[in-house]
Amino acid sequence: MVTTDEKGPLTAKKKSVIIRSCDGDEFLVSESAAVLSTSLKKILEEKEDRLIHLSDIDNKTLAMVIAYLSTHADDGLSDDLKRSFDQEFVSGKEFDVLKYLVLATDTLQVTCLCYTVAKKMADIMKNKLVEWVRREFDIQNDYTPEAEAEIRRLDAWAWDDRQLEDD
Amino acid sequence: MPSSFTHQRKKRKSDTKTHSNWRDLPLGLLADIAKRVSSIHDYLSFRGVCTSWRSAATFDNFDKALPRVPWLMYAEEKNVKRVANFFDLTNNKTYNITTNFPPPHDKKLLIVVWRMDPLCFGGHRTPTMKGDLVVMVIWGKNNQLGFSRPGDSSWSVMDTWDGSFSDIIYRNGRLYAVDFSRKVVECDIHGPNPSQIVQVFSFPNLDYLYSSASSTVFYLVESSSGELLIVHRQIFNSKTIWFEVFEIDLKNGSHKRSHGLPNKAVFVGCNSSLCVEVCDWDRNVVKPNCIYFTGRVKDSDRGVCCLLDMSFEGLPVSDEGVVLWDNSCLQVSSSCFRCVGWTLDFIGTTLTKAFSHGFEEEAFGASLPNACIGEMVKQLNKIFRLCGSLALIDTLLAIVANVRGTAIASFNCEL
Repeated sequence: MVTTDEKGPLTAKKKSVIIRSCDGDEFLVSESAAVLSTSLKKILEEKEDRLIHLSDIDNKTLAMVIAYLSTHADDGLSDDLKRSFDQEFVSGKEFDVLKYLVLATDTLQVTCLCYTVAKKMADIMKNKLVEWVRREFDIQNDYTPEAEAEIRRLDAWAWDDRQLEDD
Repeated sequence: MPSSFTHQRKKRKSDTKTHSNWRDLPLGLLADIAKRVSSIHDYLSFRGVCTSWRSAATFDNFDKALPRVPWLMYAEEKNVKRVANFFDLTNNKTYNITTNFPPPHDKKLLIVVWRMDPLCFGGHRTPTMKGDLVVMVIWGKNNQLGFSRPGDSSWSVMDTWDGSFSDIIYRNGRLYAVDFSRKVVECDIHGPNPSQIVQVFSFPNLDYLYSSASSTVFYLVESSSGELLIVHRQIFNSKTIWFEVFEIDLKNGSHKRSHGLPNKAVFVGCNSSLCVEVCDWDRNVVKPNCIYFTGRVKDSDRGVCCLLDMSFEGLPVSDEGVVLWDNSCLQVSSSCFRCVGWTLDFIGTTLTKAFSHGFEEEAFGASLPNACIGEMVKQLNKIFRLCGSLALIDTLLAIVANVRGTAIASFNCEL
């Protein structure tokens, strides 16, 4: 469902666009928020299209990205507030959610959000064993036993001596 | 970096639906994550997860500019293995890193600062030394100055100076040193008169600081925000009792006492002095307004001094070894040795051989004949025999070892 602009014809200042996720849901976004995404900005510059369809971003992820964009487009918020919003934004999220989020930032080219999520990922892996990362991120080890043995030999000190920290 | 994002996006288009796994994320995204991993061991773990993560976490993607807590390096008297012990303040753990060189435990030859690429450990790759590398020494009984650059065929000796030098740093392309009578000098080693010593600053008398039973050491430190600091360490009966920090302005010759180092911590000791910015995430690990200090090997005079109330506490490390500072996590930029009591000839013959061939990776890795390595190793061996393994030599060996790991390994067995 799309809410229509009550004020009638859109003024140049308060233009909005509609973004549709891959599951068909539509979101009304102010243009000032949309253009924080380099990809969306480009699309808007190229054609007058007010409906943008994103075929590879799901409903839930898109809602999050739009919340992020709208907050960052809000001139009334101080940089400090935006920074704490960023921290709050990525905290406590499941790894899968973060994964779709970082993929979406890639598609939409929202550099600052991409960095925020990437930083969060790096922080999650702080002081963690390789095995922990593989398990929690559900990553299949695709090294051959020989290759892994060689890596372990080269970086022996990075592999041992660390407690498995379970969160 | 919009352009790279465009690139990634194009690449992604074709395989949009396949990112069901963290392993299959676009390489650019994985690299973005890798670039934010600050600790070296986490970075190596990252590389160990799977092949695609390894491809993303290249050596070049390791962001050396991220602020890092310096590691403390143990020097253990009885350690005969080629293992260096590094204490990580961020997690209170000691890493035993196998190196191709013996750990330092000599007490005569003092300083090594090697701003080495941490990935050099374990023989990953040779450190890349560019032409701006300078090795500076405080040498001889009178603590005079000397330096050598890659490509130089011999040591350059500075003009004789009346005073005896206490510390030395390389800053803005110039060498700065402070002597025991609190004079700061400058040498424009890249200029037309590289051996000329010019006095640029002199402290007024601070008589209240001195008495016959005490000794004084001065350190030169460049703060993380670029100011030049003189750290004055007062030692009484072999115990450090007092620190004072002055910020000096070379342009107008003025100085002011710093009553603290907000958001900063200073490391002084046998190694080169170091100032780090204490970031929010480091605050519980490295304390702001504090000076971390060590003495010589076997010397128990070490600890942490808080400048605000002049309180002292111990280092959070076990007492089994002597701790030196290691700033191996910093970028390669310059290097400096302080060799008290050794003649330049003695340390020079070895080093100059290395330098005459240049430290550039290409030159070192590719064109240096085995005979040269052999000769260098022989020289090093001589010094080893005379005085045990030296911190100074460790550095050289580290470089050589990375190029010719096997040669060094067999050489070490002969010791």
